[in-house]
Amino acid sequence: MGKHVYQKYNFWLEKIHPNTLELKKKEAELLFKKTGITFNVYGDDGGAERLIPFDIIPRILSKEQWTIISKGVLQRVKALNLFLHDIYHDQQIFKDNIVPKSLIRHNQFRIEMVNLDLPNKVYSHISGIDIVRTGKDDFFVLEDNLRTPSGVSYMLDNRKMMMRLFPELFEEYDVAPIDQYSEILLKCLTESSTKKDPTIVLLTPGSLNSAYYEHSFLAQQMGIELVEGSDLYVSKNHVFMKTTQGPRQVDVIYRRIDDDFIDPLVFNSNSLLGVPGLMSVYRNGGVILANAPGTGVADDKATYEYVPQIIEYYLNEKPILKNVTTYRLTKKEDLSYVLTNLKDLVVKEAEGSGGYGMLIGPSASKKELADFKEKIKKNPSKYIAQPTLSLSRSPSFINGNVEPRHVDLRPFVISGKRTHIVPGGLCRVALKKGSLVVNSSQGGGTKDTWILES
Amino acid sequence: MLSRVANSLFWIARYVERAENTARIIDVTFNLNLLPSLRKQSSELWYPALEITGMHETYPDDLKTSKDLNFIAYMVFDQTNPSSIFSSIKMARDNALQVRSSLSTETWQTINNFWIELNNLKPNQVLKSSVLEFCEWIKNESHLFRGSVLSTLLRDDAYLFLRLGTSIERSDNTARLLDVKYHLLLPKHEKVGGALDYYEWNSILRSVSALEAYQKIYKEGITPWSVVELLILNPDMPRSLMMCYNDILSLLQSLTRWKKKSALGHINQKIKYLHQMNISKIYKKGLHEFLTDFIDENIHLSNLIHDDFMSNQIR
Repeated sequence: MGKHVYQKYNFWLEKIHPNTLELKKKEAELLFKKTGITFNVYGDDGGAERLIPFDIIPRILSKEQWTIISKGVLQRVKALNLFLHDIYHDQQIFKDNIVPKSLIRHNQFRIEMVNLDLPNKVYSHISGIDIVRTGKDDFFVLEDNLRTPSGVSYMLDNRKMMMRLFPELFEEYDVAPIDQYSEILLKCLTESSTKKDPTIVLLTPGSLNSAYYEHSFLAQQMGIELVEGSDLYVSKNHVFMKTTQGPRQVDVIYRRIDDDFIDPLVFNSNSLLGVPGLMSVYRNGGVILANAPGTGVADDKATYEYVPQIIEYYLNEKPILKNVTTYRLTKKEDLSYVLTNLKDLVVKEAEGSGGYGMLIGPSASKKELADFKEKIKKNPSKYIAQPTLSLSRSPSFINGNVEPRHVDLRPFVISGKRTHIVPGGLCRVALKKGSLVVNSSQGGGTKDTWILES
Repeated sequence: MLSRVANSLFWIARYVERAENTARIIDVTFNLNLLPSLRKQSSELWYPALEITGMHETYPDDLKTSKDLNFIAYMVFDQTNPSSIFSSIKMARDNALQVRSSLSTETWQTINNFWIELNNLKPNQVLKSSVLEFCEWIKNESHLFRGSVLSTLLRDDAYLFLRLGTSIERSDNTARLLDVKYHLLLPKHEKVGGALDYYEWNSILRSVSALEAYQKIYKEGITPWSVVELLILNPDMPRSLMMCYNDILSLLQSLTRWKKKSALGHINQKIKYLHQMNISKIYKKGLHEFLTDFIDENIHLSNLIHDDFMSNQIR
């Protein structure tokens, strides 16, 4: 499916000099390095800065495909925000026995959020939903990211790069624009406050964080201050930043620091990244946090399997995007199925992220399978298992040739008074032949995604 | 503007300016050595260069056995030398990375690119065959940095703190340069004259790009006290103490919109003092004393700027 959308691309490819792609690829690398678009890899010596590999062949999606994706993603985020509001208030969904109450027993449920009323009832202001395609128009959600999803800067920069490298292709294709993203984000952050002209800041863990580039990029795009925890302090139920003209009150914090680290008085007391007292101001309505703390309970892998029911319960609609079958290893029959069929399955840590600590059954060695079996037996609740999907592949430029590689897509949803989506997303590509892991920490790269307007 | 950001911006400009000044000093010192009649022992030639840049205190090798290239390598590439050109540009780039959202894209890229290219250079090749070219390049990159600041930055506080950093660092450098060479400028040397002194004065002027200006203003040959007058008191001379301080005054006037005004008070005083000065008064006080006072007061001014705007203490 979708092959016809590449027709004009193929035609163009045949016309150009065989060297063109190679030269353009080098040009792109040089430009990215010059602009300093890098990410930091944890565990590397001195937090070395690296370029995230960029594939210069775009992923092209038809208008029809995007309609399915965008509607499905918006539906999902709306439902999950309603779910969050409910579980932090009346917990009607438990009373109606749609999902088990045990979901909130894990540590992503933040007791501090109970009975707190948020403007527009929005918890996840910025959400990223990871999607893969298998069959023709079969789209599955792999994961919801409702905490501090990253990657949007790559979406925006990849597009800028493609327009610079291949202007002629943009004449051939009607590609839907995406650069309105930061404007919409700023609008929604403004709406998140009851103040008319709120002072908004972006809170970053600092320049050693892997997504630091994105933080500074977004702050610059929105024209807001990029602050670190030490730039802020709490006084008389308000948050202030230390400026050259004295203290200045802050009304909205777009925070890119995890819940655990935002306030050492409430969460991780060892954190030097956060702001002591922030949560108390937040609870009293003195400041807005985006995303709200405690959204992790809705994007957790244990909650994931109930999202279809959550959508039906709150919206009274059929889910548009499918869920991947998920085996819960605390269930006896699921556990024995998984242990028997491990070589065909993908096993993930329920709390993990970034593709760390995963097992991909089909590509694992006998020893790896045996070792993982032991791990699962020891601590079944730590893991979930899913069938291996035959992910769609997208043409990619590999060592001078055009070859298919597995891809996923993370569109971003922004929620304010209304819910918005820009036509595109972060497309991640597994550059290693046959690999299904697209995470940049595991050798994945990114691509520009073109949503066709006609 | 965030205090932390102001501090970084101030230091970005200082570090770039510092690298440029070091390149200027190396350039003229290297050139002096090209005149056979003036050729000196390496250490005799390079020690003043270390002194001007404040690196004499940390220079690790034996001065007597050091060759020209040892000195240059230390001043340019040594990563353990916190004032080397390499370290300065690294610090400028590190600071820029932390505040890149407050810089224009062009300015950030200029600094980032400066760092990438410097980092890619092979020290041995530069030392062997292209020291002068390298110095020229450093100067040009520094001009490019200020040019991009000038033509792409909104005239907000970020711009003002960058300019402030440049002026503070620059005045410090001019004062140090004069102080290290002050013995040449003592009256008794006037009688000596001769080729040696001529070239030394000449080199002082060239190191701050002031030779052409000097020739325009003073039609006679180079005399030490005219050099002093030009580089300290002339308000139109880009690297003179007077011009730097006039700039700092106007920058601080634009920045000071709230209660903390100690830096502004200080600069007002210093400017008044500079205006009362003339060559014979400086002569009477002693040039060396005048310059050491200036350098100390300049450090004090930098501290006051820090206290007024960048101190991270909750106020």
